[in-house]
Amino acid sequence: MSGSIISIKDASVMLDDQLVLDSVSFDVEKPSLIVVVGPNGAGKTTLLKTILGIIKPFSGEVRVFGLDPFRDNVRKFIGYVPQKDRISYETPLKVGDVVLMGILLRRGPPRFISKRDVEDAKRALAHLGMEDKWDSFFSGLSGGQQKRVLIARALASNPPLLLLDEVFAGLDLETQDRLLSLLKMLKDSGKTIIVVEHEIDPIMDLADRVLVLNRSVCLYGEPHEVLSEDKLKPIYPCLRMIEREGKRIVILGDRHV
Amino acid sequence: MFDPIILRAILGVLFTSLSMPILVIMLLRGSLYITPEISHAALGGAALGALIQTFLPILPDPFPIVVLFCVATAVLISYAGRGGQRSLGTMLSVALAISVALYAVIRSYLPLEKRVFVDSYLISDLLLLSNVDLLNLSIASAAATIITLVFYREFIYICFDIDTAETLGLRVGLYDSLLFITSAVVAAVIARAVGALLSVTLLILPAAASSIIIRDLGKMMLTSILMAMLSGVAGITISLQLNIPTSGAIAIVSTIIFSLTYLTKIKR
Repeated sequence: MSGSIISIKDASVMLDDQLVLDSVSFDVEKPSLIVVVGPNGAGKTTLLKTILGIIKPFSGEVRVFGLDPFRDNVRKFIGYVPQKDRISYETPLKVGDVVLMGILLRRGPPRFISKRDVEDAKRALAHLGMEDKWDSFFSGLSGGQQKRVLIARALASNPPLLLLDEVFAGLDLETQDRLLSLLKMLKDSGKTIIVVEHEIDPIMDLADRVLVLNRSVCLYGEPHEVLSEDKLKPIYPCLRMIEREGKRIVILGDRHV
Repeated sequence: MFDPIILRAILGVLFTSLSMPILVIMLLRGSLYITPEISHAALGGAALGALIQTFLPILPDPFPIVVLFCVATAVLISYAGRGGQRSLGTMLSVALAISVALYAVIRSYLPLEKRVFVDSYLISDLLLLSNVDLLNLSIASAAATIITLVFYREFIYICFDIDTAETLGLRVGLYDSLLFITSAVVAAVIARAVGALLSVTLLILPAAASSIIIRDLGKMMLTSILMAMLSGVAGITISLQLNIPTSGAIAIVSTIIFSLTYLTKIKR
């Protein structure tokens, strides 16, 4: 592993004959927290799957820790939290099983569970304040608790890079605060975190850089450089910015340019 | 001592029941409804197997051809399923049409004793199982059980969160195909045991009933085995007492068990 953590140059992706990413380029040089925002269909999840080596661009270059994700196994360095809508709640897995999934799938069969695996999984759950839910059914938890379990699954193998897809969506304020504390702790511990969000507000204070995506990279820089009305208005015509108690709140209206 | 006919029938129930866990997994995958269609492919396989056996007497029993035919159908359906519900539905219809057409056409060219054999895949009777049938069922059922035990986690992870499973490096296409292939083997076993026409009673009902009343995955699988065994043994007993076809009696018992579990759920 050498050079940038993530380096993407002119990556373009087609899905079902539609151009989903168009000449996307950006670099992540050092451990940091990057927030990727954009309207629905802007290619945010596709970008994460491209970094993971699941969706291959038809042109351009992607490197993760200096490796080619489509040739080398970079996924062992990455913890991924997907959107919840593809998870089957019919499958009666317990919380412990879900977190262990993040450890066991990183090795080949037979996937026997060792004592250390259980300790690592419980430690990851404890970070999220969920250690007492080990034997609870995943489907029986609240939406916020389920997201915490999915994050614990991503953390269980202690990867240096975390990709989080809309983890703040639908969370109550208390759970948002708990999640922010955790992300701050992870960031301080030297991890690189890429958070894809529809709205930037919950995580604005933690972000080192903000990437505004709308099929191509519209803006990429530090929050104070990117989050100005004149720069965002062309991308979000329904944009509203509110100043309250010295804090700038950005409300991104969801409309394609 | 048991009559050898009854003993073979009970062993047939045992081998059939032991392969229930893969059907529970198919239920969680949302694909259990496909298995009766796969078991109908047994008709085409049995006809083809009987035809081959007529001209190539070295084939001891057509059952391997039945299994191969069911497996090939499952692979096609699994592949079509990746193209969405419409292509899956089309492939199910095509598979059913080919199987039944092969059965109808080839059957007309077979000698009488082979026709009777092929028809036994339409509606079978556990009391008519031969030692060769039992050997076939035991091997196929053992293979399905071993695959389920060995790849249990992979199958469950695909059912729960296929995206993350793929992200973490699981070859989801490979394991999904293996899941369908194993289910096809079980569909062939059940087609031999009760016939393709009534296969739904053992392919769907025990797994569905156990999922209604049990939440824990391991217990759900165990309950589906017990429900299939209860349906089988009770069906054989009723069939002997009332002199009615065994597969019909098993179908009635398993439907009653399913209805009772469903009523229990409504009462809750």
